[in-house]
Amino acid sequence: MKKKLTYEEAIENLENIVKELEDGNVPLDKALELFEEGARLTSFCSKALETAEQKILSVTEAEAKKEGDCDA
Amino acid sequence: MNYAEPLILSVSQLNRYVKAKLDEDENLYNIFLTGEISNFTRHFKTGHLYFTLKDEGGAVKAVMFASNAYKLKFEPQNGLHVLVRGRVSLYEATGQYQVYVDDMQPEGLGALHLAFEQTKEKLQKQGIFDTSHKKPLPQFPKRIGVITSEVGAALQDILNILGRRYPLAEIVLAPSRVQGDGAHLELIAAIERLNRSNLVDVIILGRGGGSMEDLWEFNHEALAMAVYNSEIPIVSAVGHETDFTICDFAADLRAPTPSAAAELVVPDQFELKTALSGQFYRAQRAIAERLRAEQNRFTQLKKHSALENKFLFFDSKKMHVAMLSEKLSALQEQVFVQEKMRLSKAAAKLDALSPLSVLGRGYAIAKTDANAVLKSVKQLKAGDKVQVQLADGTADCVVEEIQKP
Repeated sequence: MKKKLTYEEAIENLENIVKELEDGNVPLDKALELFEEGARLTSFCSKALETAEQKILSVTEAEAKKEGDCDA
Repeated sequence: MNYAEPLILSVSQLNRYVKAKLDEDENLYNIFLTGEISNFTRHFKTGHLYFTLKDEGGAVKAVMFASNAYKLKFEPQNGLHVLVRGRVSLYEATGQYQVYVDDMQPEGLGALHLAFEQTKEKLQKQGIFDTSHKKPLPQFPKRIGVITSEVGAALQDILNILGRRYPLAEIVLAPSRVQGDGAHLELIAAIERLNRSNLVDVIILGRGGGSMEDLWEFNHEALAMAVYNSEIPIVSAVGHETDFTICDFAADLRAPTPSAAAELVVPDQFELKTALSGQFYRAQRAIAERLRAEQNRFTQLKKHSALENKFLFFDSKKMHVAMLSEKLSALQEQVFVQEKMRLSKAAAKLDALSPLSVLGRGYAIAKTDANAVLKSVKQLKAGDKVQVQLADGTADCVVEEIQKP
């Protein structure tokens, strides 16, 4: 993966894949590929939900962190 | 009869004399007076208020100096019936006797209620509460800004609910006082700071319940403007369900309580999990149906006698479908197998680390009397008591001799 996938992107991708699969217009090989990707996204999302631990930052910490991101 | 020369007074002397008479009269020193305000003006430079108080029978001039006037929460205006406290004196420059007002209350409604209604009406006219200006909340916020008191119960309520419902989001705390004079300025600064640093997708702004005076800082016009001008959507949650503040009206969404705000801002992870398995189930069903359809097509083709001799073609097609079918069932297992593997790996690791499993293989842990684990003979001398722990119990031993290699 090039960029870190967010939960929102993953669930959106999954929904699109399901729509495409249900439409049934894609070739069979492609359909299986899509399904494979769908399974991957499902496990990504459920893992994200299960392992997430809420981070709490003060605004000062968050700002410092953001500036760090920019320097990098 | 006294024909003494008449006493001739200057105007100033007269005014000073009458003023002194008024000032020494205890009945006029601290009076409460009701009347209707008319001819109201606020001096643009000094901020002093000048007005007339009247009733059906008469009128009296009144002045309220800026040092007292700035404490008023509501805006005095013509036609308003008020109760004032003050003293009566005379202004020598004009010879006008007048009431010097220290404090003023609107009659009927309380001062705070009136101020609330006045601000509300004003901002409503300016379009600050228009629904067309309200921004939608993000569906999956990555970062949530929370502006409230660091020590309030509201913060704990908000954190509890966010943590339970949607731990994926980071929380950025911008602490601020939430009551007492000037707290609204801190709230405004926090809103502006979160906007400047553009760290969060949505802001919860609020505090727990309290009296109308406690919640008052949330009724300031300046705070409403800051909420209105925020680029980031703001959910306002001030006090309890029955408390309404100006800030609530200006916000993009009003939540009845801080807890409710937290619920409105994030989705629930349990609902998300249900939706997720729903999506995956649909994908599974769609792909299974697709394969069945391909299989049927193939069977139909085979029945076609005209093609019956082209076995090679059929065989390759048949193999293709069989291969795909296998791939599919492998995929369906995949998700669950992955999870199982993760679990058994973790369990194995844990087991390997357990000292008990080492004891099971014939090793022992030796401890001193003081229950310290023995790592060197240097810790011992002949005659010391030693405890030896084995897999199924301990033995108390005595050291007979120390041997070094």
